[in-house]
Amino acid sequence: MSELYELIPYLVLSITALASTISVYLAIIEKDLIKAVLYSAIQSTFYALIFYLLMVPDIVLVYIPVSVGLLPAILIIAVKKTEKYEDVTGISKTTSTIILTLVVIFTLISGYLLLLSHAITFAIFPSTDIRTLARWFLNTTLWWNRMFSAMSPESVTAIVWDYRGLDTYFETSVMYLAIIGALALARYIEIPKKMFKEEAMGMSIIGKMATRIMVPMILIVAVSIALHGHLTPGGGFQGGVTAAVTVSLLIFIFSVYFAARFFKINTAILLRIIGLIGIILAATITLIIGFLTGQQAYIFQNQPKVIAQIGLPYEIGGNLISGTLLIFNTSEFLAVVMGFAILFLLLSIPEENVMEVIRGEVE
Amino acid sequence: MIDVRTYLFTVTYVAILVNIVISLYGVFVRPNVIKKIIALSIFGDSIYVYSILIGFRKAEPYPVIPIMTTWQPSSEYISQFASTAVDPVPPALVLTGVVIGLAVMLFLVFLALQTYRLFGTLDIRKIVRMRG
Repeated sequence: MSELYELIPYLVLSITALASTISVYLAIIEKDLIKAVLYSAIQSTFYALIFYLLMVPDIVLVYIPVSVGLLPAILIIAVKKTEKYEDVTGISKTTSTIILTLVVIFTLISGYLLLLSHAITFAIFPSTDIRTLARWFLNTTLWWNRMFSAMSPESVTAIVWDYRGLDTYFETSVMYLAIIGALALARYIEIPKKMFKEEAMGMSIIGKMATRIMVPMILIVAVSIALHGHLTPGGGFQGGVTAAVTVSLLIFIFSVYFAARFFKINTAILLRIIGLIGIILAATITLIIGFLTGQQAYIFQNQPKVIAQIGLPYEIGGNLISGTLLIFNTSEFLAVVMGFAILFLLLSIPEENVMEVIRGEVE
Repeated sequence: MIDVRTYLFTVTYVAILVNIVISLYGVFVRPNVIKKIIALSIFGDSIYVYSILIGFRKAEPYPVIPIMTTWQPSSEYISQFASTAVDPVPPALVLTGVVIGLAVMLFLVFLALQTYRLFGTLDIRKIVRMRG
């Protein structure tokens, strides 16, 4: 009986994967695009369950707001502004079959290589051991020898900012460039300043009242996820996307004019720049202290190392703060939530105002 | 005699592989740009699931999350933790990948909207025929 009990997670894992395959199939062949978006959201829910069963709560916390909350909302806005139905007349069956065959062959080859990378014995099930690098990270993430440790019980956040900080730095800059690109496409477009009746727009009073109660609670949860990022599952990315859900709620339930009262685009850009400056500060604060005191220090250094005896305190008054991890989580939270707030506000501007601007440029 | 856990894990692997095939079909064949973006996001998510599957491990009775539950660990606790926790490197990479993926998807949606404003259609076959 106890063996059966141990099998339950694996059983749920395989059933969830099969169910996700069905929703992917429905999402791809559906002609009604709104329905396709909803099927893809169902698939994301199944994937979140898979992530949970694979014991990575950090990914669950970031994946549910992104793929179940934000991406379907964005795609529904885009579908509402463009074509509702997909026109599939004229796709010849032979082209379709040839491409499908090529895709199947490519996928089988890549899947075979993946299997090979896993084990020479063709055992798909993972072994009892993990790689040496991962074992090193797990052993040193909270260790009372500060020369090797990141002093954080949360090994994922420790890897994100301390062990592999340069990766995160450049990934943040990729996100910065994507948002700058979207801002460049939406230049000269502004939220129209017009008088409006709040009661006449958006959903019913029940939805509005529920949202008024929900939004502060979501914000509290988001800030809590971000500030406890070095202790519990969570961090700046997870808290940021959770807080960005409130912007989409305000736009959907009320209207873009109502949301623009709280989030001005220029203010959001300013707060985002403050967040990015905070990330740069978290990367260089040890170096600055080293310059000021004339000691040796490195960029992206958190705790003291053997030849650089300088570092941030890992605790203040008995509370673990893990050095620069707290600064990084707070700044990343600000940068992520404000970046997505800008994009949401720009995306939900009515199409008539946008067309006016574009025609003005052409003429 | 094949272990039941290995069998169930293989089912998961193959199901995600089929997801990749279907989503690549959507990217290559379906004409609507928004449908292509949906398929692309499903493709990326399936790759994320694969990365996490690589980091999974076998432990009795079940592996634990890579987060310590005490903040003054003894050396026995650390060795026990390191022998049962899953690999923390793939979650750290996927974590940033999800958020940056969302920003890139938003940029693609902006491009698609701009295309619709200038061409009046999102059918990729008609856009190709128009030549700017």
